[in-house]
Amino acid sequence: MNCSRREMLKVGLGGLSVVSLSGTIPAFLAKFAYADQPSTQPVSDDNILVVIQLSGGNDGLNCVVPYASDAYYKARPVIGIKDRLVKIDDTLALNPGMAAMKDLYDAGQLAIINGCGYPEPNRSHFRSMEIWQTASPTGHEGCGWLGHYLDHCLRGTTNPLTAINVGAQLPTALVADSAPVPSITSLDDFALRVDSSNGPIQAKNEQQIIRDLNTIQDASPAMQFLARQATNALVSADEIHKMKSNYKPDALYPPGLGMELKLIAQIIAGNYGTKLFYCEIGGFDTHSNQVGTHEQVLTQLSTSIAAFHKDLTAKGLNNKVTVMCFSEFGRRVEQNDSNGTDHGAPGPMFVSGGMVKGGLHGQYPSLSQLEDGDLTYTTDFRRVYATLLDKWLNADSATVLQNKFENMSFV
Amino acid sequence: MAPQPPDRPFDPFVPSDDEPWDRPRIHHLLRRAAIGPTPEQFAALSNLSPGQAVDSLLDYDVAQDPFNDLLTRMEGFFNFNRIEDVQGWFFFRMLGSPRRAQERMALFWHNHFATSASKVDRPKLMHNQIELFRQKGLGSFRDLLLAVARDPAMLVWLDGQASKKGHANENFSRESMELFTLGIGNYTEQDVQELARAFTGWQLQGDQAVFNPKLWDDGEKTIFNTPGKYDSQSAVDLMLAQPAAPKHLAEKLLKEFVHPEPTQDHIDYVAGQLLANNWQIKPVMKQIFTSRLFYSEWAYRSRIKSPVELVAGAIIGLGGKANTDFITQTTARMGQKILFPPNVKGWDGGEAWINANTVLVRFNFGLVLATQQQNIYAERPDVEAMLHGQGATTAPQVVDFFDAMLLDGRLPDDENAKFVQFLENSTTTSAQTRPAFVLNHGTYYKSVRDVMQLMMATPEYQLA
Repeated sequence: MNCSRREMLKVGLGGLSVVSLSGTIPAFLAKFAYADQPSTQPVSDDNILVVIQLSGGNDGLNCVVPYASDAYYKARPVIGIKDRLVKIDDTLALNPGMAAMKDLYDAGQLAIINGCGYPEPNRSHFRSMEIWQTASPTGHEGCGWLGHYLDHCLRGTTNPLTAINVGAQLPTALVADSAPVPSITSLDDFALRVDSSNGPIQAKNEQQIIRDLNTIQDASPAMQFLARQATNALVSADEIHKMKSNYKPDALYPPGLGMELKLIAQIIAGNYGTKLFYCEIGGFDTHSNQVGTHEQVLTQLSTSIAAFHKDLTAKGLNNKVTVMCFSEFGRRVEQNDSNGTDHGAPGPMFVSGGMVKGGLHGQYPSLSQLEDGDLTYTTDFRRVYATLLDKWLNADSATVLQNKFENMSFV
Repeated sequence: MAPQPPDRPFDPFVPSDDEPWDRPRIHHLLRRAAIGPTPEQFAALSNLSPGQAVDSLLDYDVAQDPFNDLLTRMEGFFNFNRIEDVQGWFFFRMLGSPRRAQERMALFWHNHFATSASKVDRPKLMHNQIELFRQKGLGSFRDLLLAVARDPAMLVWLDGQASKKGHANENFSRESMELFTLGIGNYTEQDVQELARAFTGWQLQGDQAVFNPKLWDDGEKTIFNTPGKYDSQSAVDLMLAQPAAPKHLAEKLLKEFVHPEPTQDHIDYVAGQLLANNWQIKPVMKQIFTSRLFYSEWAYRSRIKSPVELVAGAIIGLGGKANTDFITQTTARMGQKILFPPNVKGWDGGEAWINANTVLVRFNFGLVLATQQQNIYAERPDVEAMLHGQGATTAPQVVDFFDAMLLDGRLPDDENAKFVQFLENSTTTSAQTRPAFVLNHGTYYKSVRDVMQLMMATPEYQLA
């Protein structure tokens, strides 16, 4: 473990009721909560970033289709999309599954950033995903780029729910040196239950014993790791269940990603001061017979995002939230012989929200000048990250990304 | 200070007064090699030497399946065209099998050659692949790898069925090198393309894979700078001849069965043993499970249990006959949906199993198990009778019983005292009128069963 997920929670607990926990609060937390009050102000605004990871390698060419290009149809005689295109101008169209995102585009709330990638692209899912999640094409960082943001820009923030991963497994992007970011799959699961049949006193007693059993001791690294995670979970669960339970969705969310975004909307509506959300949609690794499956997964993506913005708009929150979609790579220009596509290089990113300057950003990659059968990237993906950090999250991107990247104009 | 790996790590472990063949070590072996300990297995292995104990777990005859009769009589109970039934069948075997090491190895290979039913939407093929892992799990890795390259579920999962002469699909080729045999950095993009040609020609016919010579690319390929007219068999041999291959597998075996961070010396030694044993897995596993390294304080409780190990292990330990749907759903909520690994790399495991959400699901599972609230058992274990059978009646005896069963009898004294106090205080809220605790039906439901959940909500219990 390079990045010290094992390190102690450094972020304090000012948002918690220290008094009510005082008898029970583990020593390492209590020390901070009392003695180490934050000296710097957290970022002043309350903007929220939602990152959606498109896992498997989204085929950019069939997602934002260059329908005026002969080279496109020549490279993809079977899978090149000709019908039901959702045209956005004289040369580009969205996949037929993306009508809902076209509505956002027309409303000026969807930025399409074409040709996002990095030098010397890696075609391994896992390595390329690591590169995108750590914003480091050359090194092997243990922490993620959002983890760096939490460490550098929100140090001293006292909220255990500053960032939330919606999903079973924490992505590297959110691995930080400071507090572990909680992963939540449903609010029902996110609570400690004990036997309540013998009355509230004994139940409270049992909860207390579990807290005690999970205080951090001088033990093996694995034991310390588990105790810290458990303590973090118990604290976060207490916090989140203070949330107002009067959330009602103002949009019809589709299953899958839609349910994750619905949970995010619910937490945003609960006003917990969460700055970052992360969720994932899979199914983009389209090596064979891809046309139908790719359209399906894009439909899910598109309708989920549209529902999310509709819901937030109805609640007056859409101007506080920006959504960013990325995938670990695009796919080869030429279709393969299974009517699918193999791993490729750059692809489009999508940024949406009430404050986004919609439209086309970044240059569409050339289909005539290929490198090893792949498109060449035109926008370093870290420029998109830097733009969101500087202009949306009010963070210093040069510190977070350990390099200066020119901002773009989509925010 | 954290324990360090022992000297002479692969010498056989010889019990002594300082390092006895005791409950923690026997439970450790049963957790790692056979999903979890049972009181009966603990008793049986106590009377054997470590070597005999390991033999008793691993020397099973694949041709003789103790479940054959039972499954025949149950015909129709599992419908392998339903994925829920294939999941249930796998758990049914893990819980009920008298030789759980076979299922444990199948679970390991299911993660190594991670194939997901999300794309292989023919449950029967997923069943057949698990069956392949059960059959060859302790055999030759060469045979296993070749069988996997021609396995129908794998042909669907990584698009081998779509890979034909002149139109090779790179998916299986890349992942077989990156994940199954060599690791990233040990092959080039050209190797990916050329190896893909060698694996062409395998097609699905019904539930079977058949070789169609017309679809095989019979031309010369240059893989790892070595030209040849490779087919899948000679390609597998060439892959396994790479120096990275034994190390890659050795590291995975050590991480899965010994310690999440093996040293390079450990890896090199096991890699050498894989070659010395001509890629036979069983003799290498026996060496691992009888080594000083395996029984060291360094290895003990160094791994975080996977959800399947946690849930199946807990139910096995209680002698319960579980509702397999409950296990499937519970392990999925903990992050391990069996037969649906997140991608071809499998579950990352280790610390990745644990986050705020999964910790709570794990603790809450203990409650469900202890109070038997939900319909989680096909047949409920009678824990109260188990306690009486052990002659446990006082609070310290009850605590010691659960400590032995769940925590290897290594609960620290101060925590032991807290549990005793919890039981004694539970009889009434008033200290003046409090009767002494004694195990009976009333106290069992009042507090005794809750001790199970509390002990399962410890960091120790999450570790294997």
